[in-house]
Amino acid sequence: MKSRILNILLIAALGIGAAACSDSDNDGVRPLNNKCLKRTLGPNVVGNELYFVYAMAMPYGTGSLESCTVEASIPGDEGTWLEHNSYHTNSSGMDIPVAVGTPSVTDGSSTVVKFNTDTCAASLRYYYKIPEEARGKEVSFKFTAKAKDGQTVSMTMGPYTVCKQYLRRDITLTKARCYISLEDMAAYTLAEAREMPEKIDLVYLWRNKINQGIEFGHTFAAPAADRQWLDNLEIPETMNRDVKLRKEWGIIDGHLTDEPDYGTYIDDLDFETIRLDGMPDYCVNMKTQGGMWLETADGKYRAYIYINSLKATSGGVISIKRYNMM
Amino acid sequence: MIYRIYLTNIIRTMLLGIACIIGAVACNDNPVDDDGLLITDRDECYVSNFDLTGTDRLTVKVGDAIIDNEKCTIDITVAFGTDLKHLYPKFSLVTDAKLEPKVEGLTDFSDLDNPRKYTVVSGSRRVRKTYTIYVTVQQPASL
Repeated sequence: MKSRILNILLIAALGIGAAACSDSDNDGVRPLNNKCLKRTLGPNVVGNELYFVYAMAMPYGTGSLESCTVEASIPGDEGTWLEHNSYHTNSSGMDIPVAVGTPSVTDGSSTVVKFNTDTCAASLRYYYKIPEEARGKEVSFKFTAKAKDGQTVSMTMGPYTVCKQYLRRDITLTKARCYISLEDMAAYTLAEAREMPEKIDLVYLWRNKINQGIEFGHTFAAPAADRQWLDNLEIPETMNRDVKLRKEWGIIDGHLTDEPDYGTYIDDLDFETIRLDGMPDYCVNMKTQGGMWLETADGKYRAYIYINSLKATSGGVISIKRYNMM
Repeated sequence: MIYRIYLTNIIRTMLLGIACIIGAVACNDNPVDDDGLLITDRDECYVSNFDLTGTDRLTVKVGDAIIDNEKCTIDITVAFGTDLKHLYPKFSLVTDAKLEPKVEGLTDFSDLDNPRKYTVVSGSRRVRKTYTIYVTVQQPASL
């Protein structure tokens, strides 16, 4: 009994000791503090944004903020900015902006907002447009808040690896504009394609063969594919590239669609590991929200084509992610 | 004295636990096979449903597969344009039965002259029936 009481006392003493040693925020008020959150999900693709929220605050009555600076290790592309609004959420759950500074000024890798209101706390949103220069590299960010009494506080976010992949959204296909180039990530007409047959990797066609008892529908095939998959589509003799195609369903990449709440992304690793050996060079009867993996016969490119929409007859919209294998 | 009684109780509990485990193992009359599947008394042995799906995991069959459990054949027609080299076969078997060989990924059905064969083994593992799968590709009707 005695030893049990001793044990309880020992545990209580340890607990009190641990609490006393805690250096939590309760043991004193820090002058200027900051926190940062990266809001963007998925791989970091050139042309897309990295979105952060940077919060800075000092105790009420101890001073006010002077400026906020973000320094990127690689200067952002045009469209990089730091919002000069701070936000609060109203009773309906809406974010309400409150202007707290002058519009941001970007000089090289540095973006600054100067506060023009007497505020001791703010949360600013930073949008970094990923530049071509960052492709395949790492990028990091230093967020700094400065108070009017000269205090500063900083924190570094990253490094974040920028993908090697290329992204092109919303390429319109029509009956005439049906010659697809992975190199350009664009669709061309026959007249345009004749000028660059070596760039055409894929053709699109729609055929109604219901009266023949089959579904051909929206079909993609390599120019070098068997004629039955090209069904009288005009293919110039010099247009003879081949691809391997793997039909997919349910890969709804968040970068390739505007559909909300899709947390799925195709990353560089997916391109590096996908195996397309022995796959055919055609995909018939494709549907909206379907897609296909591709690999050019020369092994130069791998890609994923997502089908954003298809019409009831000829035409539709696709988006492409491409990865250079060489 | 208190400690001695406490220790004795622990040892007794441990011994009882070990005895229970040994007893449970000894009483096991439901053996498992090499795949870790339960061997039961069921001698039923047949395929109740069959499908083929493409790389997109969507079915490629046109109409229902015709399963003849006496002749042990499955006839399936697949859509025009189906890539026969990369298909996932999907079997539904009678309770407790298993399939040999196992379906372990994309399977090549393109050799139509040598159709693929799968053996269904009953839950008792005493009955084996080998099914032949005949695939027909839908062709456009000539106008």
